[in-house]
Amino acid sequence: MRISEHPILTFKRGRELRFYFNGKPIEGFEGESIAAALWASGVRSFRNTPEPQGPFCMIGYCSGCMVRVNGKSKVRACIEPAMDGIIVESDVASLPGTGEEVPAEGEEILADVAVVGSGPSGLSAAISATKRGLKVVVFERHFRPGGQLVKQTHKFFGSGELFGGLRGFQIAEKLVNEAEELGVKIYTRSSVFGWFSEGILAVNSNGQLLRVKPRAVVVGTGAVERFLPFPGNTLPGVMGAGAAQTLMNEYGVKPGERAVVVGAGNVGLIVSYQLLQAGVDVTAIVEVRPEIGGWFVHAAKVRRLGVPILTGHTVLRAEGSSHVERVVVARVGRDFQPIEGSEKVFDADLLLLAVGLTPEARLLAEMGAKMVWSSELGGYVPYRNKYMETSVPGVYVAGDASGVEEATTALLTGRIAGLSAAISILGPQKELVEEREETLRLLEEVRGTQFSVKILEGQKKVSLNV
Amino acid sequence: MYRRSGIIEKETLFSLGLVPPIERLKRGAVAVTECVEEIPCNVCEAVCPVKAIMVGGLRGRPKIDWEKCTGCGVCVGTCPGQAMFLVDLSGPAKVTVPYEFLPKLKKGDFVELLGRDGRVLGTGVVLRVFEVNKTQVVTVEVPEELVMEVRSVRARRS
Repeated sequence: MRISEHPILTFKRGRELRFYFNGKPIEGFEGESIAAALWASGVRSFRNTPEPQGPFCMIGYCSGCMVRVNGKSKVRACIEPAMDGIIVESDVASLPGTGEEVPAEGEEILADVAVVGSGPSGLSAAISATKRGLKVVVFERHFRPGGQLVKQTHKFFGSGELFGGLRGFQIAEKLVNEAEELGVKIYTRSSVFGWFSEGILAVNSNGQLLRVKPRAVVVGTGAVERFLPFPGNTLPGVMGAGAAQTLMNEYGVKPGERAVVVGAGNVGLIVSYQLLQAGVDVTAIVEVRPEIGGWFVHAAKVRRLGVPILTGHTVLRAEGSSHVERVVVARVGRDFQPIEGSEKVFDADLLLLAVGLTPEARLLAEMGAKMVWSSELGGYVPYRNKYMETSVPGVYVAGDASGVEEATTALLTGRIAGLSAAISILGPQKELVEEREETLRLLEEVRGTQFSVKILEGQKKVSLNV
Repeated sequence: MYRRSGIIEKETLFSLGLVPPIERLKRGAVAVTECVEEIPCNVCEAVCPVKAIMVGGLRGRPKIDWEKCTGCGVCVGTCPGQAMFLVDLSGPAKVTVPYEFLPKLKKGDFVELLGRDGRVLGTGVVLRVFEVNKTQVVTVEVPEELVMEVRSVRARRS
């Protein structure tokens, strides 16, 4: 179902179009992903699996939305634009695929700085480097730039300089506009899939090979939502909280009618509020820990609207035949194990997991950056110095790929990485060094709260002093 | 306690010094904050037209100078945490809250008055509405004893 009216967003839908899914006509709009159009038409299971399985992440990482498009296998419907007349079919899950074949000959692109990812960290790195007259290219897998800010409808904390008070999608617009006005070239539908020791990035750009030879690289590939093991977790309707945001805030597609949200961190709290704005009932927020994880003010916003937050509770299972129909939760003891007899059953067609994210830094691992596990930062991240340089000289990391935090720190680490890349090329110019020091100071201030204690512990483990 | 429940007790607000004296409330609208954690944010300080809010750097708890505050409500519509409100005991008691739902509200609408726990505490009439970046700032008449209780409104379900 599509959302026609929203208190914050105006959905400017493109031209109407029609494509086919397993032979059935599907109505969509230009600018939508195939996945959004399918979900809006009531399709919940995209793949040809023995049991129904739905999309989980909606940002191009999980395999829950893989389809065949015009005969091409293993296409992620969530980052593939809907187009008139295309033939979309459920992919056969078990077939080993060769994926896409890209011709070996490719265009060569020379650049000063190549940025991977066009979210807050990537764009902010690109802007910082471009301002110094460097040639910067950005590669983005999605068909639109902006990363995950585009689906954030809430106003951000911060100061004026850090876009405080603006809504996430407004920040994305500003960043994209500023980057483009400064002459940054953003390649959309362009996935960086390889790195050669000669210093060449291999990019699949709309099916064409690009061989990119940069003098410095900034990797701002973000993070992926975590999954949780429980019976029924593959049922359509079980998805990441961010996936629901993609549907409702980016495409104006109602993800469901009644939701249970797992996790009372900032993501779970904010998404619950946004679900209410999209006209979805939130039956309960379930949090395994004895306390709310996110900022109190975010919790207060949903409590005032009558949403219960069940601390000390966990999800036991999702039930339903073709999609989620019921969610069973239970109280947990001190050992975090469910207490028998404390089960509660909620009628719901959505079970949203907001149980943390994990850095998406596999490209850096492939590039040979020394990686380290940090539970504080959400998973494997590259060792880096405070200027965000990894163990591979000239290769920088920024944003959630360097450790899961939030958009403000992504903006700041992106700026630091962009300035560092510029310094590596232009030398330690006074103005560059000073701006970097000022950004480091700001970052320290932002991380100065009780909620950043864990982050700082993680940073200590993965940072090398220079 | 509020980190467990998501609800801050009125007593906690009093003990933190966040409730203006009754004489001030009787003189007209004044901002009250329920921003009790040190969030890295100073948007309220930046937008206040009379410089009545002090955060002190990027991080801190906003302190409101109730003598300077004119009760304009810009902070109510700007606060990213929706933790700013206006309370007014001059004439009929009034509370001003942020609102980001449908239907959009207008002067004269009747709304449900919601407490911090989402309970419906009564019905009130909307006296004034303005918008700050798509957040409606809604002033609603409330029973006098509820000025420190009503913290949200909802359009009446017909």
